[in-house]
Amino acid sequence: MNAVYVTAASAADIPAVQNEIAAALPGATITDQDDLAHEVTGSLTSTANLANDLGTWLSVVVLIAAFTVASLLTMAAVARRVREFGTLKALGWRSSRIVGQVMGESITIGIFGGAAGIGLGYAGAALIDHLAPKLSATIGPASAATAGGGALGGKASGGLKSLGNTPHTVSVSLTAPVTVSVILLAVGLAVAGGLVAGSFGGWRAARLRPAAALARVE
Amino acid sequence: MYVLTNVVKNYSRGRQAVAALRGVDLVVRDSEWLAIQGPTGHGKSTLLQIMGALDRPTSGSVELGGIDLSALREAALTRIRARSIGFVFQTFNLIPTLNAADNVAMALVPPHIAAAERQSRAEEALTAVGLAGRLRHLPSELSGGEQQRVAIARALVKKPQVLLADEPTGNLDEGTRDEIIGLLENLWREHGLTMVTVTHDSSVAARAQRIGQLKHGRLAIPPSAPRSPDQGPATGPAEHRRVR
Repeated sequence: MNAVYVTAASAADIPAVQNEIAAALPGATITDQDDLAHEVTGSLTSTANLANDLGTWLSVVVLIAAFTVASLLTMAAVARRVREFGTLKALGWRSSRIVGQVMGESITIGIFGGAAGIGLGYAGAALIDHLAPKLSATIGPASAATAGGGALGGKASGGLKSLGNTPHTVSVSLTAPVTVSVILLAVGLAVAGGLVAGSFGGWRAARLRPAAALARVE
Repeated sequence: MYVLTNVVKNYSRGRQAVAALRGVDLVVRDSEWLAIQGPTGHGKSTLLQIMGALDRPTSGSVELGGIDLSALREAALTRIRARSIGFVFQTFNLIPTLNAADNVAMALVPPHIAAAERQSRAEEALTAVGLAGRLRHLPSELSGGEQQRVAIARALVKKPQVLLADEPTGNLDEGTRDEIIGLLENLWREHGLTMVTVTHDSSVAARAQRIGQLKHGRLAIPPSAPRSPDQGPATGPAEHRRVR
């Protein structure tokens, strides 16, 4: 025998019952409903924190990858247009104007990409809201708890403090909230991505010697 | 007037130095049409790029209208290219995403001409080269001859003092070649241009007032005053004299 379940006549008697058991069985571990509730809540919080941290770092990695890919693509595009820039230099275009042209194109692409990303984000969030499975945590006298955390954010409800002796189910719903701040951040990052990519591309275009650019075989 | 004095251009290819021009002396008078012939890789395009302020000589001087281009900073050279020098390339070098009028208008961006005037002048220039009906066509929708006409319009729309043409008929068939060279000749007469044409084609070179031969980076050219446009075509190498 390794567990004994004890029922108190009322919630107010629980501390007294605990003290009596402790006195009768000094080596025993005594767990009450508050401890159980705290344990489950802690698990849910840890899961949510882990999911948030993972999400944040994944976002950073994806952002760096996106900036890098955008910069490389812009530089590749500049490399393909070397003769065009050489021709513009032959026509008397200043390097700064050519850099501005490349950056302008890059930022414009960033803005369009950001707008497309917002649309896709809305669609993705709606899809998650529609398709996400309902997760739940059940807490009862047998301390049988199943818990789940949302990868995108979770909300728990159920009133753990009022568990009593009957099993209670805590529902956890996965949501992908789309807020104004998230949209502004997305547009800002898209434009910043365009700026970074355009800077690299423009820098490369500015370094071209006109004669060398015109001599480039496509 | 161009005055080139002992122009040397060396390139480094890996650890090896390549002499593209080996002391070129040349005088091109205002409104003169000079053709430069020579084998591929003997320095013709390099000479044209140095005359067009697209490249600098390793040593020597290049004067255009009394200004030594080799002593100028890049910004000043860019201004000279924007105002005084028009280029025509063998491969036309049109921007594929812009229509004919917009391609021509690109040459009027550096002089800070307003967009509406850029468009009207571009349309005039295209009309002058016989492309009034092709203003909104993309380069891919034009024949080779038409693309070269667009390039000529782009070179001349800013009314430069000099036109430099690098194998302007090199990518064209014979019939189109004759049309283009005839067009260049008419524009040269009409605008009083100083024109330097690099070409492989003796029949094209023969239309010029003087013909120079560039071989192994050395230019052989008759020093005499050029014939007037009405004196007929140059006769070719027989009248050449090696200068250096």
